[in-house]
Amino acid sequence: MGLVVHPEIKLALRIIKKHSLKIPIDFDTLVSEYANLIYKHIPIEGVDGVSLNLKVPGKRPTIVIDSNLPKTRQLFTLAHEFGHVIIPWHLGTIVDEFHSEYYNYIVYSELEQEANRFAAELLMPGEWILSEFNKCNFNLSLLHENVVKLACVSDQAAAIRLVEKLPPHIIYIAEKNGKVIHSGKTALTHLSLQEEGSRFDNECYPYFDTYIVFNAGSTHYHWWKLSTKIEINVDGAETWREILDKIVQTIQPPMGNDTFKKSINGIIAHANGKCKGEEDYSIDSVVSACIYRLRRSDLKDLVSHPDFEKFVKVRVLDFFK
Amino acid sequence: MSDFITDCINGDALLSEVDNYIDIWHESDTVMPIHEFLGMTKKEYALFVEDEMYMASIVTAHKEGKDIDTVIQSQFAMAARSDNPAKAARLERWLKEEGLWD
Repeated sequence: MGLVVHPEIKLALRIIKKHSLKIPIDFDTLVSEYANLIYKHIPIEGVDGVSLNLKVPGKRPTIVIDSNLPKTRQLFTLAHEFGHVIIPWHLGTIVDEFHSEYYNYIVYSELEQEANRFAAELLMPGEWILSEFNKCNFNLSLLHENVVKLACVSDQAAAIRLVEKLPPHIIYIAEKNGKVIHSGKTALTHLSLQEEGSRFDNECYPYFDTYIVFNAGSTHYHWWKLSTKIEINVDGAETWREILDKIVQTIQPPMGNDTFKKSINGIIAHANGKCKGEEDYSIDSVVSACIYRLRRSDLKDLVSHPDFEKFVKVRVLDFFK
Repeated sequence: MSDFITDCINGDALLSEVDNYIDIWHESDTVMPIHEFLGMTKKEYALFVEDEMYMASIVTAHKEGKDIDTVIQSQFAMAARSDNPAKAARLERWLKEEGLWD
C-alpha cells in the first residue's frame, strides 16, 4: 500500500516543477507572479497575514504580510498565504493567525492545515531534505543547521520537517534551560519521547549510533540516531517468566506484582505487534522497540535492574520460537 | 481517464494548466464535448468562458458536491474567514481604512 500524498503537497510540487525552483526560493518574485504582495504592519494582535480576493472574478488576489514579524516567520506566512492562492478551493478572504513559527501548530480549520502542508513542502521540499540528508553522513546537527540556513526557516520548523521526512529511528529533543520544549521522532520509531515541560535527561536514550547537538541560540537540539541492534548476551536456562519474577521481587512495584507483570507484558506484546507489520521485522528490531518503549520514567526501577535487558531478549526470543 | 476537474481536486493539475487540457482536446479526435472532457457541466463551462476565475468555484463545487450557483453565491456573501470572527471583523475595518478591501 502506497503512502497517500495530500493534494496540496502535489500542488506545491507542481509549482516547484513549473518554475524550476531551487532552494533558496525567491518567494517575493514567485508570489508576485500570482498575487499583489504587500508587506505592512498589521495592527491586529496575532494576525500574521491575510489573503484577499482569492479567485474572485475580475480581481487579482492580494497578500498582506505583517512586516513586524521575524524574517523566518514572514517567509513561512508568505508560503502559507501563497498556498491559499494556489489551492483551488480556497476562496474569498482568509485571515491567518500563527501562534509561533512552529508550522504545524494545532489548527482546527482544514483550509489552514492544507495551506500549512503546502508551505512546508514548498519551503523545504521532501526530496531536497533527503538529498541533504544523504550528504550529511548522519551529522544531524549539520543537516539541521543547513536546512535552517538554506531554506531560511526557523530552527523549530526545520526540526519538525526533518522528522517528517527522515528514515526511522531518528529522534530529537529541543531543550532550553534544562527543560524539554518540544520533541519529535521519525515514522516507525517506537519509543516514548521525553515530555514537553519535563526536565531534560540526556541519558534517556543510551542505545544509539550517533548523538549530536545543534545549538540554535539558547535552544539546544539533541539528535539521536538510535541503534536498531542492541547487543545483549543471554546465557543460562532461565525463562522470561523466571527472570521477570526475580525482577519484580526486587523492585516491589507499588501497583502490585501481578498487575505490573501484566502491564509489562502488554507493552512488549504491543511493541511486537507494531514491529510485525514492518519490513525489517526481526529479533533485533523487536528487542530495540521493547527497550525503547519500556524506558519510561514510571518504569525506572525495572529499566535500571541488571536483568532488564536479559529479560527483554529472552521474552522476545520466545516470540520467535 | 481522469479529467481536469478531478486532476485539480487530486492535486494533479494547477488551475493555470487548463489550457494544456484544452489543447489536448483540440488535438485529439474525440467526439466528447469539451465541457465533458474537462469534467464539468455545460453551465459550468459557460461560466468558465465568461471568466476563467470561475474555474476555482467549479472545482470547489465538484469537491464539495454542491451546485455551482450555491458556491458562487456563498463566495460573494463570504466575509473574511478566520478561526476568530471578532478579529476578522477588526481586520476587515483596518483593510478598508488602508484601501485594501474592495
